Amino acid sequence: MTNKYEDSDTRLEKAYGRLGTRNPTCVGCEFDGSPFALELAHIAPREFHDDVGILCSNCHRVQSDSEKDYPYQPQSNNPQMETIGRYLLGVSEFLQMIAARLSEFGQWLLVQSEHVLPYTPEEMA
Amino acid sequence: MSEQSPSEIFVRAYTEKPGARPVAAKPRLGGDDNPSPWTLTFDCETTVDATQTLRVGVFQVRKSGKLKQEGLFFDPQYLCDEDIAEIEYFAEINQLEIRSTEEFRKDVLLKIVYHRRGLLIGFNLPFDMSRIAIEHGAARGSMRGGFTFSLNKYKSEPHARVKHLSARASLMDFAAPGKQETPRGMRNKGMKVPHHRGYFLDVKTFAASLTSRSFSLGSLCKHLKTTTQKRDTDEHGGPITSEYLNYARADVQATWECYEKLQKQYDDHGLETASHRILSEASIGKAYLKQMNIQPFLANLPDSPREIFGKIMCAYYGGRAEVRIRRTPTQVLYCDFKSMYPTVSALMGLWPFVVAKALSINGATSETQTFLNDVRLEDMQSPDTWKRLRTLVRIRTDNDLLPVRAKYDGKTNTIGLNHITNEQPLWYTLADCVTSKLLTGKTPVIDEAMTFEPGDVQSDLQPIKLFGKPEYRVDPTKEDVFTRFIDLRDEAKEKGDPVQQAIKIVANSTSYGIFIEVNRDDAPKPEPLDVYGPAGHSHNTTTTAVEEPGRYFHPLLGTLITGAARLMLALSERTAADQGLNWVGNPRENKWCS
Repeated sequence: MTNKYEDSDTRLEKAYGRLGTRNPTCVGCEFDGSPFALELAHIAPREFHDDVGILCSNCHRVQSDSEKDYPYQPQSNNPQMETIGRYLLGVSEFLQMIAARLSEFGQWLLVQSEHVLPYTPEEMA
Repeated sequence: MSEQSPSEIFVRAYTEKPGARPVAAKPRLGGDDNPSPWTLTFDCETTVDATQTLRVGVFQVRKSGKLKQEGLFFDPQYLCDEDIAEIEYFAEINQLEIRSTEEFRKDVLLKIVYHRRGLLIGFNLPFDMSRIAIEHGAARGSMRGGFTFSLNKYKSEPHARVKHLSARASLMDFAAPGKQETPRGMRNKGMKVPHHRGYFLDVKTFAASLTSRSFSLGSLCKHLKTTTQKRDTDEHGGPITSEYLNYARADVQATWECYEKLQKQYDDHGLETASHRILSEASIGKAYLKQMNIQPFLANLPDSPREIFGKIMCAYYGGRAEVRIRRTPTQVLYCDFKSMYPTVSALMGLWPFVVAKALSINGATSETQTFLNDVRLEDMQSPDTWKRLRTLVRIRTDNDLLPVRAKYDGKTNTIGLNHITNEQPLWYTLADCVTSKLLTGKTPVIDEAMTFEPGDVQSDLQPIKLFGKPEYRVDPTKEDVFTRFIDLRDEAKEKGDPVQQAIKIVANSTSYGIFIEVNRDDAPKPEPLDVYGPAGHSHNTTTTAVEEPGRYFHPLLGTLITGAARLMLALSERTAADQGLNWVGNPRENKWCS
């Protein structure tokens, strides 16, 4: 017999603990609605490197699919260079996702600028 | 100044575990270090005999500051039926929950603080933790030398660990529980969820860190002007009454209100370091250096030659504290020094060493001897003279007046200023040699001198705004932060800004102690240790007194600052003596008498 404290607050904190942050957001699609749908994803396959980023389940599947084009562990004559290469490919994929989100946000700001008045802290106060 | 020279003297050495990585070179904790919105505040009332057994406890559970649960807990086996009836009646009319101590440990403390990752708040928390524990033992690992407290009979739940650091502070955490905390899916992917170590905040420690003062709960409530003040009672140990329970309940409410006010004060600093990490003023100092993105000396230069550390630590003597006249009614003139350590740090220009990428050491024996031959009391009024004091010297002492570490009472090592003659050359700061010359008129003869120069400034340093105020901006790359802190405190004082006291604490906490922090670890059995002494080279020894340098350890700064502070005292001593005055005592201040 063990003690269980699996109420919703406990489950929430457990999920935050698993992700290592209390403000988790998917790098791929900006989803931040629930930590239960977010996962830690290896930037490069784990045989190459331990670094991880946060992705939602959907984006994680998409990201993992592209990894299938390459072997899951070093196979070349120079595993050190291969590891660095695979890691950089993984980082570039994450950066591409971030760049796509930044681009969308930029486009959104341009659209908003047509009809939203400037922010003035004095008036807000 | 001690009149008799001791026959045996001791010098400080630098010690290090062979192959150990300095704490500064280890990566900082990753991930979120802030507690969830949940807090648990509790307090225990105990018997007044030596066992101090728990009689009744009061707790409050809050979420984002809002009270969610309030209750009492007790162990029925330690209370009589009348006391239990009184507690039950009190709980009913005040709508409080009642828990057994076991239920409190499992369903409140572990649930809120461990599983929901909330913050545990108490006043003198280690005492209260020990009162509710099932059993205790010796802690292991990073907390060895401390206690471990069992909070549940199941191994799946963690023990709490407490390690005493000082009269004001203790380290507290949860030991790793005996169960797998990483889900299978993550384990399959080679991932690991780090153990949750808990968030513990002792209000007594927090208050002392923020104010540089020691408080009881009552005096802290008065100081912070909390709505709920601590009540008085003389009912400890007597029958439990509603007045006594009201007293206990008020204690918890007062503890919470003190925490809220102190947290607000801490938030005003605008530091990223979480408040539960603050254990002393030095923690605040380190948090400021971290905020400015200053890399510790041993992180930048983890392989610095330890032989040099040995020589530097040999010259380290701490502050000068002596009493010359005691138990004799004497008319005195009070003399104090303004921000002594920040002042001498600023005068010597030590800030560039704090933000430097590297450190260079140059031999300077002949020019240092020339400087020492020529220096006079009046020269010390020039800031340029103080910049020359970034030098350590090795001297063959010949009746020179220097700090000496010895067992003056035959038992304990203390430090006093003595006339010393020693065949074996010893390392001192140049400031100590100037002190000797000004007080005796005799110039020490230098065997060897090393002058230190800071390297280039670290990149990526960040300016900060103290208390979020633009007028209190501090830029570590462009200004001497020690000087800036002193100036800012003066400005704040002139404007009547209440933050002046906090600025004083920040200035003091960033200017000395953190650079000479050495944490002693009492090992259960002797461990090998490399010892670097005045000759520079190391020898191996085994000891249970294992030492580890703190994160911002920079022995040169700690040694130079205290040497210069002793010189500052000597300047006043010389000036006073020239006016026919004697001195009474000096814990960094003097009282003059005729």
